[in-house]
Amino acid sequence: MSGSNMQAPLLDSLTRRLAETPSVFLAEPRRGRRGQLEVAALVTDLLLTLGGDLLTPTQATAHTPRDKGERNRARLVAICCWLLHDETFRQRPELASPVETLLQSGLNELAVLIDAERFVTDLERREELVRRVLDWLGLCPAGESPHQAADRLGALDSVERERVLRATRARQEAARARQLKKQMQARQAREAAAKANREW
Amino acid sequence: MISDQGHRRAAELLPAWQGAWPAALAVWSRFTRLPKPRFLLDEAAEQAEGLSGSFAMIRLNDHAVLVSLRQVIELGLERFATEVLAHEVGHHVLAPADLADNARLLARLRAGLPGLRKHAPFVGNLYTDLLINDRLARDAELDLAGLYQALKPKDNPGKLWNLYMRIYEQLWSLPSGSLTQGRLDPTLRADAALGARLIRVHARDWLEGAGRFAGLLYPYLTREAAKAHQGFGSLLDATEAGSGEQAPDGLAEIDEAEITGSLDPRDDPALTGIDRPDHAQGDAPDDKAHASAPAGRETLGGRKRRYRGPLDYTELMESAGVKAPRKELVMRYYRELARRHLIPFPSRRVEQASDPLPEGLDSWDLGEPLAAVDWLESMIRSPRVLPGLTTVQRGYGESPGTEPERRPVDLYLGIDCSGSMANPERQLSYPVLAGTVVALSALRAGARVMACLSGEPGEFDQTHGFVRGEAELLQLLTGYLGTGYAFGIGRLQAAILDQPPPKRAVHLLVISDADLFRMLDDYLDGARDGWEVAEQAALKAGGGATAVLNLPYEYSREEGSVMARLERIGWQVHQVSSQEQMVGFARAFARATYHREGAA
Repeated sequence: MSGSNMQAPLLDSLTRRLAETPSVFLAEPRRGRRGQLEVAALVTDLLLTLGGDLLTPTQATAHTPRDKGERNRARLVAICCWLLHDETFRQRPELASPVETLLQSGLNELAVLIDAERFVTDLERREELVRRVLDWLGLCPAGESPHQAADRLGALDSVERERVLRATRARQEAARARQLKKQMQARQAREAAAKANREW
Repeated sequence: MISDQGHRRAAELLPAWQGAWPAALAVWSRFTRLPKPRFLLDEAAEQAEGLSGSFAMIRLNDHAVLVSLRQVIELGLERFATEVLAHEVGHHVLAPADLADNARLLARLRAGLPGLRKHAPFVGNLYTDLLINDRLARDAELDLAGLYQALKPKDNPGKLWNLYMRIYEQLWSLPSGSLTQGRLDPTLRADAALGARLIRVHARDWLEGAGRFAGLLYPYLTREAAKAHQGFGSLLDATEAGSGEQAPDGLAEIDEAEITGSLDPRDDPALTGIDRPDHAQGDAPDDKAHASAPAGRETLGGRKRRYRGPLDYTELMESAGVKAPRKELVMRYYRELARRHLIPFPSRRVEQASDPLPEGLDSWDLGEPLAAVDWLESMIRSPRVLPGLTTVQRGYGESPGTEPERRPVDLYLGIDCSGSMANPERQLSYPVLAGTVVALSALRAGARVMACLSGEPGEFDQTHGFVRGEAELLQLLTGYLGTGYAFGIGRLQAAILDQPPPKRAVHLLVISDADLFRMLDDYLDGARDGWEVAEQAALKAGGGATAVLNLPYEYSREEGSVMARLERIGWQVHQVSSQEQMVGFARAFARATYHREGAA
């Protein structure tokens, strides 16, 4: 997937690009009569720039948020469109297909967890998004080995962190429940013993 | 022989490290001023300065930086002079910076470490190191990573070490294994990511992040409590930062952030970075987990002043390294609580000057202004000066002026210290606090105070007559008897009735409860019963008499009641329905009795 003839992308320039995302890409996605930004049109533009095909009506519908719940994903897709319009990716037909799937479904988990605007305003989240996109496209930032790139993405990965934290929380709650049960059983045993003594 | 060689090598290293000091100061600011660091060349010097375990340490009491060059060589840190010294400067200028912030930091960490409070200084050291090192590595581009790589232990030192080092790896974007050892499990990686965010998010308001940092380390400390410090030995430079005789002010009150700040960072969206943008619409999973997250101030019922107990206060001070007897810390605690209720310092406006007329010599007691001592006369009296015993001061008369003379009444303060009263060292005792407010206000206004703790029949303890020494009064008030059932009314006979008439009018103030009435009935001394003693003492004292009593509601002032009887014999009875209300009474009493007098 990663073209060997392709120049390795510079991480700093991509994160800076994200920081400089024009406000039009952060506008409210169109939903019915509300919003200004046609996210499907942005995606089409990007795919054409990369040498890909037009979106099918079904694909275009998927980029139009139907309710508030899908709003954040549409905003994140718009921000990614801006990022992928960078010279590094432009007119690379081999990227059109992975970009299409990335925008179609590859950002879903992230969009559920993090406000899209954070990928513009927060230094760490900017790096996370850039690394995630590069990883999806099979690219390594300039100066890094695949192992280093994977290690750094692992350190920033919000989805994985959330999964681990949720598991930790569940473990803690289960331990607390076990302890409580043990205490209750001990109390019941004491009460039973006291009752037995009285009956004797 | 080896020791000589070590000393020689340390001496050779000395100029280079001395030369690095200005640069280390300049890293923080061109205007940073601190005493020059003390470089210790051998073990004897380290022992003399109290440096053990670590190769460097700071002391907030005297702003000292101590570095063992002997250990620097042993650890192979010779080339990190600027890094080490700038780090120590950071403790003085950033965190914990001063004794008060050090104690506040410890208070917040202790709140976040239930059952593991003794580890608070250790956790505080790790937290402040992270804050300082991150700033030095990012802003000053110092090689802190190199320093930690040099300190990397050979054996696997445990999960806490790996978590701590993984936080540095995260902060400085270092690959896994740069500072950590072995395989890191996903939980540790996730926790380290939280730790790194915590350091960045709370870089400016670092005290706010302390409780969360304690929460982050808590599970690791629980698992490794016995060997938590393993591997960190040579890094711990600020665990005894507050060690000394100075006690920081303002710690009797619990800072609200101590409670809200001990939130588990795993539940803090600002640190997890998880904000679930569409959560409000119910699209995101795991609603329950987030619904249970603490909601901060709202859950606490608004802003209220909260005070820690005396036991917690003394433990906090001991944890902060304050080297003072527990009794003195308890006195300090009550003085601090009383301070905001005291009358303002009285200032006298002199309408008409009059020539002072030297009269005889009076004895000079401790607590009186030192400048008042007549040294010549004192030396004539006894060449060996014993303050308070051989010291005298000149007494002056005044020619009559036009302003009426106002003298504060002296105070006789009797506090019920029977079995029903709390031990002020273990629990906040409101009668003691109320007594402290009144006694210290009286001293401010220039009055003398005689205090008496009494739990009778049983024991009593009192000052040696009417005194002006604050320490003597607090020493007595914070004592505890826990005997008998009430304030012994017979104390008034010994202190007032059996004494010559007082030179100045005395106000009698007794703090007790309903048992005082029983004591008035029970006390018998020859022809006089308790009621007569109370009546005659009030008459002889000449400055009024007040009983503040914690009474149930059924006590009324109707004709024939004990309350009415006590008032008829010259006592004002102030009824409160809880011990807490005694403090409000004490404040009002002090203002009415002493502020008006002193303000002239």
